[in-house]
Amino acid sequence: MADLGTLTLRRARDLVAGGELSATELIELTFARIAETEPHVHAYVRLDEDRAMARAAELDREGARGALAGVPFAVKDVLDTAGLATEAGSRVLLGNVPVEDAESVRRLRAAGAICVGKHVTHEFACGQDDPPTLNPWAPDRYAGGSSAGAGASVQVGSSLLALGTDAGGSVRKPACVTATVGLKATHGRVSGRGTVPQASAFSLDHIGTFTRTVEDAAIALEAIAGYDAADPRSIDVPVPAYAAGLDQSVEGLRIGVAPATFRTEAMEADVAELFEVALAQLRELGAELVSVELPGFEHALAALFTLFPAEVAPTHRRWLAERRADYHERTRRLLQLGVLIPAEHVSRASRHRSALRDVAAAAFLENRLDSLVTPTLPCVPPRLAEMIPGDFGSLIPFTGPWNLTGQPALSVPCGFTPQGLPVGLQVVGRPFDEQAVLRIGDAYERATGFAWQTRAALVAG
Amino acid sequence: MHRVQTPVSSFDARGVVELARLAGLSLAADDADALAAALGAHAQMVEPLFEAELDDVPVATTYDPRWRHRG
Repeated sequence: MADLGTLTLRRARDLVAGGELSATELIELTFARIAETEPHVHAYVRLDEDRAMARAAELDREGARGALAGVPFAVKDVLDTAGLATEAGSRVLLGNVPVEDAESVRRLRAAGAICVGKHVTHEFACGQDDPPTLNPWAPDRYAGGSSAGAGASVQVGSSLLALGTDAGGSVRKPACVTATVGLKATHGRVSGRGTVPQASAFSLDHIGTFTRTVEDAAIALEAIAGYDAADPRSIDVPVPAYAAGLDQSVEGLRIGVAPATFRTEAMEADVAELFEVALAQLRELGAELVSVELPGFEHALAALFTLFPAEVAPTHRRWLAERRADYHERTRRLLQLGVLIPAEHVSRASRHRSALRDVAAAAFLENRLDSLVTPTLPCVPPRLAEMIPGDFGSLIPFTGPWNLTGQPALSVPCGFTPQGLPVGLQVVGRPFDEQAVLRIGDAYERATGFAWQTRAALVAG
Repeated sequence: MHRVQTPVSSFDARGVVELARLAGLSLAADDADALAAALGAHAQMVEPLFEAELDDVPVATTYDPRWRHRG
């Protein structure tokens, strides 16, 4: 019998496609795993068991078809799911039941994947409130956000694939602190249509995936990527066969490092040490490391923290007046701030973003980089009791800049501190070159094996 | 490097209430003080963006075409 604590998406898919496991058995196992793990992680806000079981039975009757036939996935509660409530973690949207799926959800279902439920999110993905999800590695520590439930769920095997959104690190950050793989593709690569508008900064937000392995991320991206004429952000660029491009050497690839930008004073010693080990491993694998400078990136978050509230807030104006008490206080304050930020600040932030895009393009092109690596976070998951409420700026100095430039970025587990806390390696690529990012992440993962250190024993432990 | 004055560098609660009114947002009294502080902190945060040479930077709406070349 398959063990959801260690099963990968690819193995699950192959078991179902090969007839060794029925879709019904896989979905039954998934709900059993959810029942076992939820008391420990609180990753789900809502389940869709009846419809998931019915869909699994249908797949078994008709013969499982599709690249992801039978694979259980779950969705951050800011992405629309037809007939299943989508409340964005807010009392403001209590009882909101969409009639259509978000495009990314629709594509997963079309590939045969089965939605088992919705994952916990920070209210409107703003990162200001305190969601109930617990980190499987240390329940007294941050589980990530705003896609809070997704990383914890994939880590403990209560879903094999999760969809999240990332406007500053909200996929890569929870992936990092739960030792899972988080990928945001290039802005425009995956349709964002069907994201709750009040939870999405249009120019910064990316749909992303959580999986156990890089190969699984490649398979998932293949299913959700591609042009969507109904999403103005979508860009019509052919989608390659990502998974087929894996299992290759990184010999000769040029990988940038930017120590002057991505080695802040706040970086913890354990993180710096594991990052250095990762660089040595990449060098051993044959990659050429190239030191680059990224002037202006040190002020990236000033632009991000201007554009995010300014883009999200206008969609809340009516509710801020009529439903004031239904917001978490810190979310409300952030959104009110977004309404009041001076236009000159927004203009300045937009110009700074353009300047950063120029700097990134120059660094990659002049140095012929295939990718650039950083630690995903400068720290281990902080203790909840020691976090400053609503202050996540210190967590995203290395992830946020790539939301401004729109480049693809992957977080892959990069080892554990002596305390047993996960650290992530971020691999950033050229726009629409997710292949290089996945290839490097996959080679690193195969060489290190960190993906296989799981919290499978969580329930027993 | 020339220095551009940040357009709004200090806020008080009464000013925030008026600014909110102009923006079509009605504020409860207990939000005004907190927002004045938040706006002040925000203005401080974006100061470096006013010190940078950004006046002539065009706002990009899509990816730099240079990315299409492998370099």
